[in-house]
Amino acid sequence: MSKKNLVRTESLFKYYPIMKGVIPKVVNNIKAVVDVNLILHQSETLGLVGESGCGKSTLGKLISRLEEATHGKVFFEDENILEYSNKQIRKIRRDIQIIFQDPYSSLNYRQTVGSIIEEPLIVHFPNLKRSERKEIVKKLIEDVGLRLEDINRYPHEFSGGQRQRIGIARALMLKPKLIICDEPVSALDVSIQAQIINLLQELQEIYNLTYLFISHDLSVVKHISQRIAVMYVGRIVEIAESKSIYNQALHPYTKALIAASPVPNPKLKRDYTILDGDIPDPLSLPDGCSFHPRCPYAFEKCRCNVPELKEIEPHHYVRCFLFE
Amino acid sequence: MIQKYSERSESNLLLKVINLKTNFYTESGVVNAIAGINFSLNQGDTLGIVGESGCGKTVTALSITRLIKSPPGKIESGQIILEGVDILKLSRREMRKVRGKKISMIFQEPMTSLNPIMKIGYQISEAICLHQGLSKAGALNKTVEMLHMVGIRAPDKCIFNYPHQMSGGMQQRVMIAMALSCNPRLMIADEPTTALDVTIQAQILNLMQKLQKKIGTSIILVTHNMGVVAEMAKNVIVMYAGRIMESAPVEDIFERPYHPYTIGLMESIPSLVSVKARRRLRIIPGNVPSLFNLPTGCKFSNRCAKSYSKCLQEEPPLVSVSPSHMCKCWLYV
Repeated sequence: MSKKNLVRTESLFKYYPIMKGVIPKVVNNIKAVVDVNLILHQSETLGLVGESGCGKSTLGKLISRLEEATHGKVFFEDENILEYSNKQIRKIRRDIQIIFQDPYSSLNYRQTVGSIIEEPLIVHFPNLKRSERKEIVKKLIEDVGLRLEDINRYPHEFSGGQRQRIGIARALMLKPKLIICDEPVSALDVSIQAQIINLLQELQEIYNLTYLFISHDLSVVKHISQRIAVMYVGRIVEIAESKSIYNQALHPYTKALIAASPVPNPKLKRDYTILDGDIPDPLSLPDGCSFHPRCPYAFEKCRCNVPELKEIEPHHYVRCFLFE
Repeated sequence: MIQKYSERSESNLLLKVINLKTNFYTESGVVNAIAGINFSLNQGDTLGIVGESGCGKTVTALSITRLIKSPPGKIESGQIILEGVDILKLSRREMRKVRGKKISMIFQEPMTSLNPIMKIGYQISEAICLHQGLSKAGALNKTVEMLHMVGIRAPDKCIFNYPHQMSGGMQQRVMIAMALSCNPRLMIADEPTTALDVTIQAQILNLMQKLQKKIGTSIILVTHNMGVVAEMAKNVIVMYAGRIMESAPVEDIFERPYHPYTIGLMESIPSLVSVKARRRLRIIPGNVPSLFNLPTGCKFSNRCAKSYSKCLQEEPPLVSVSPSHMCKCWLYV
């Protein structure tokens, strides 16, 4: 089965300038996303994992055009959506949707659930009759596991997991092709996390969705994704199939991330050296490979040059001089 | 000088909690945040208290340190016996001597637990001066020693920093330094790594284990993360709706959980390690209950696949299912 590319980013950059002075001048940049070339296949779930400041959330916003890229291209179904006019962007908003991390701040507390879910239809399909809208809302409410009565209630009457279901229903209203899930389960209790993860997988099958699943939790990402991309301080450092990530990770940072993830098995004695140091300050990144100060394998070349992302094995990409 | 704890010739017991009940009196009614729990902790051990939102694990930690805000909270009844003394019977003044010296606490978000307008060095030495009667200079020296012990580089410069000038991981190290500065018998850590990145979490947990071995402190670790519990704890208690549903040594509880809630929790966690194809997670249906609206009988009965008529009528007792393994479920009575 050939995998169609739904999304392809080309040399994507996002810099946030730091201004100083009475007459503001750019003195420095926060390099949030650096030279990202990523492909998302139709109907797959690509996991995007990394720690604070790695740029994963920013990357999700660049693809959905919630933030404007500093440089680069984003091809959605082979068209560069960064060049779209305002009218064309409106259409993209139907195809690319987002689910946010915080179920408490991402819903308008002054709107009823029904109204929140219905709104995208009113905006994008103004010609729909009220009764037709209600039918679509009813079906979606049930698909996400809520009850019909919930339509007239307000967000604060629901738990975190239920609010996340509302957010998912809202994202599904326009039958999108791609949903960017930005840490959708991180704020939820473990048992509710599992419900939402299962729900996302079921909906993916029913609606033929593609997911970009952003999270810091490697276990969750591995479970739900076919492929995983690991980011560190703005760059992608490894892309691999999720089933092989535990045993066959290549990049030293990925290995450290796996080693550091606590596993619910007291008999599993982890064989690793704890990664020293802190995540670097984005305003003063190290020269060369950003990971070299913490890397147990760093050598001279790593301090001066930035390695490229290369395909080391079929479908396995690594950005590291150890593999050149 | 940090001294290694001396092993007592008699009992190894450090803490014994007996029938602890803590309530909160709110406008909407009384909440039984902890409805009568019992557990004990031996010297040098780590006890993991695990559970989801509202289960009572943080209230348990705060009850032991008597930091429950009163009103609206109130420790209704029970005994908390630390080294033979029931600390619930101490006066506020006596308890202040215990807090920081015998029992110390690390909170979840280091940024909000450290005083933002006080330099780090001063915050730590303040506790040392108070509890150990050292001079300002002496306390500052001890502070530098502690910061070095928790792995902070250039501790003599760090003492002049404010909390906001440090990363989350470093702030948590400062909290640990502060908590251990007076050589406490018991350290309570309430979700100490939840707000931290995974690689930093590993550093902090590793540090806590090393320091425990060095100083001999016992630890109560409150968390919702089963992986952290597996790594750190010797014994585990699983809480739900203010009750202990299961308690056991860590290997036993992961190898053979008994309570349907514990089993449900274990099965809800996606596995990093397994190479099997992705399947759906086994879920516990429904939501974590509101403490205002608990079911009669067993508090887990409305979500339990194995519940039957007795579960809905009467709350089960905590019984022994194997040596040192207790479970609160009618299936095993």
